Amino acid sequence: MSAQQASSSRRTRGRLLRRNKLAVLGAALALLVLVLGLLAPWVTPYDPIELDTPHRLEPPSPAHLLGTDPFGRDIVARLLFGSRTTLLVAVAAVAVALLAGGGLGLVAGFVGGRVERLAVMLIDVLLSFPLLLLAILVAYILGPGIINLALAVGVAQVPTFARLARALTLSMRERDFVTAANALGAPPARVMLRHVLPNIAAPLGVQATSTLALAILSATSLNFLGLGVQPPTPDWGAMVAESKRYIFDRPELSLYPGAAILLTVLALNLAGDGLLDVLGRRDRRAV
Amino acid sequence: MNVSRRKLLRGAAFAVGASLMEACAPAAPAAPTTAPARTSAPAAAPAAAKPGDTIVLAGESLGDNYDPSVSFQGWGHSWINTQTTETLVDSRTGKIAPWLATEWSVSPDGLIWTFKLRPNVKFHDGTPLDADAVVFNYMRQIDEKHPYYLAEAITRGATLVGVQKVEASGPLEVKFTRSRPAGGMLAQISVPWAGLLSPTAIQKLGPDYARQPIGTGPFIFEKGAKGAEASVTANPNYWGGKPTLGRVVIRAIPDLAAVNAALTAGEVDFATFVDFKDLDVFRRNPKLKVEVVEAANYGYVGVNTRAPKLQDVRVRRALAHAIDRKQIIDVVLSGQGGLPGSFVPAPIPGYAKNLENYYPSDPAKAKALLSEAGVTGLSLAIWAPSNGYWPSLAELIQGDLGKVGVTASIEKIDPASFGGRVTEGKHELFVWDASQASADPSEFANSFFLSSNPRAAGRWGFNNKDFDDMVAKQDAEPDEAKRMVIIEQMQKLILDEVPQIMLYNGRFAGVTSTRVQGFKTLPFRHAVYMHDVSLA
Repeated sequence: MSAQQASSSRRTRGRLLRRNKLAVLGAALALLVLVLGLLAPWVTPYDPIELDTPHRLEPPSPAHLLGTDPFGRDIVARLLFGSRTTLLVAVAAVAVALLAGGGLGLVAGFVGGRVERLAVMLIDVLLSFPLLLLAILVAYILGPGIINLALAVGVAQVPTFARLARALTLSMRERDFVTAANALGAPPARVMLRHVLPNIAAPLGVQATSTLALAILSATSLNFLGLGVQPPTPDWGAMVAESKRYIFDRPELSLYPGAAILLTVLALNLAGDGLLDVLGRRDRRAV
Repeated sequence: MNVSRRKLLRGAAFAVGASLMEACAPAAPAAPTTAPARTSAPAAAPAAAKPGDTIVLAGESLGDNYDPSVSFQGWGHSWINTQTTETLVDSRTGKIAPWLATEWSVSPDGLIWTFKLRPNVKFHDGTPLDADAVVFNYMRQIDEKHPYYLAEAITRGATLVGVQKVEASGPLEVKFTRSRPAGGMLAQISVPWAGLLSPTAIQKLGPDYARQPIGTGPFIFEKGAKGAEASVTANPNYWGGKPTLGRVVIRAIPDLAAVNAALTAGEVDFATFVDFKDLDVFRRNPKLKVEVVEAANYGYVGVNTRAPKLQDVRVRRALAHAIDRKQIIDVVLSGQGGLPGSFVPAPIPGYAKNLENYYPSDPAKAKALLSEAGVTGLSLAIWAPSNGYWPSLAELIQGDLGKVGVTASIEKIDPASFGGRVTEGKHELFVWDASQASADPSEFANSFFLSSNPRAAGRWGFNNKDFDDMVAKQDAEPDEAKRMVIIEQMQKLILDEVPQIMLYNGRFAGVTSTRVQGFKTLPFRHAVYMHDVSLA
């Protein structure tokens, strides 16, 4: 691929991305959530944890824009700090899945033989579990806590990444440049990491982006079920669970965190889909 | 572009759908509990004669071991026991009355108790209820050499305390021999945990006998699914007359919002595990009746006095001072509760009104006690049942402890296994409530704190010789007024030693649909009896 081709493809990609306004909107929204979460302590003056029961369940007011929760905590503050938990867990989970699953698939595809058969069998077994069920299972075994939550959500996504990485590696293994590297006597580990890995990284990255949305859903679901972060740590899923008691008299308490989850997941899905579109085109042309 | 737009929309639809599920999730917990109902309804149709004679009760949890004498598995669970099994003596209204025993006498030294059994009573499998059946039931709980010995029977600590031997002194006469007199003997054997099962069934069915309890009660066990639903059908040969209802279904609905929905939709006819904040809504509903009674119940924090961080009594007292009980009553119980006394609940004779609010909320004093004990940076784990208001209550306590510099974490545990878990003694603190099953003021002294009781060791690591002596002393005291004085001293000792931090005196709310007739909410949690109930 010459320099000219590369720059022209980059230009096309940029154009596509711009054309895909929804994708840009999604990316912007996701970025906004991220920034608000990071800047939470400066955005809101309220402590998301300290109980203030005399002021519980207050309606929206200039002081508390969305009112207060059943323990008297500011809902906006809970939502902002909650996004940190939610996003942190989702990103960590995807990292776990990417490293473990991607690594497994890469090695399996590259080494082949018995290792590959074993890995494929493992992936098939894991894939036969519904995603959330697998996450619940792992969360239940590991016990509650934020690190365990990220592990549980991540492990549940391992098979997806492993399968993708293996398929990509298989298509790379027979390429001329790999054969050439092998013929030149490069050690297998070097061929795998320096020649195969960089060429499968982009699709894995796209997969990671779209998995982020799923990871947020899984993490908040586990938190809703009480298998993830424990009180008083703010989290959107846990907030829905806490508001459950008030679903008939104050349904908006559940709707706020629910809407936050909805918008973030939608934003990430839009962004991920746009990215897939762009990279997908390039890959198609490359083939 | 077409393809990608479709894909995009699909992605968006998925995200919206998935997120909506999340947003609507509060309704979700109801699904697993209502699902079995749907599947069981057609199967039940042949059993129930008329469609209008099935009552559905909302219980909070259901286990799968229906032997009344083993570990507590939830009140919804124990309602199966109260419909299917019976005891020698009745105390459901707080007064002792004959039941399977028609009369009894006690030797002057208080050691030998003789009961005459009601004639012509049969278990559901046709086995007659005779002296041998009673002896079989109770001896297997206290005699380690019995071929059907039941090691996990809680009765040794709760109902047969001090009973050495149960033997037949006639075909319909049983004799209990005690090692020491007991003022609360009759009350102790009246609780549902002392319910009698068919000895034939226990011998014939092996370990499975506990999955299909065969008692003498007005209802016959039909089927049960752990954590979901259990049902009983009318016993046509019941000695007290066939019940009006054809079938009683107990549905485990641990989630209070789901109970509210089920009551409002008319899916259940009775619930007592309701959110007190919803009582006004229920009162305004013309299809529902609400009855609130002062309950033989109190809430507490269980303290494991053997846990390394909690061995110093000053630390335990500090925790007791740190907790704001008024806040708990207001926020968690919506005002439906009173400040606690000790282990005798408010409606029971012997309640110590003068010990009320023994540990007033006082963060400064709590801090002083902690620094006196030389404790800094204390972190503790609070276990809470994952149902009802327990997680909220734990969170309030977590906040209170935080104010005196104690970091607390909360671990939520499945309610059906909670009792078993906290008896293992691996916890530090746990929140729960205690509901008396009889009107005997020494019930919790025996079932909680007597050192020979496995619960005393497991739940609070409590082993106090003075306390044991006082239990024996009040048991032997024939003068009721003097006995109450000793019981008050015992209550003070428990407050001083803090194996439990008392939180509130509870109330029960019975919410029934207006078509339910002849039901009364009693101060006892287990006292949900369906024999005299009918549906309009």
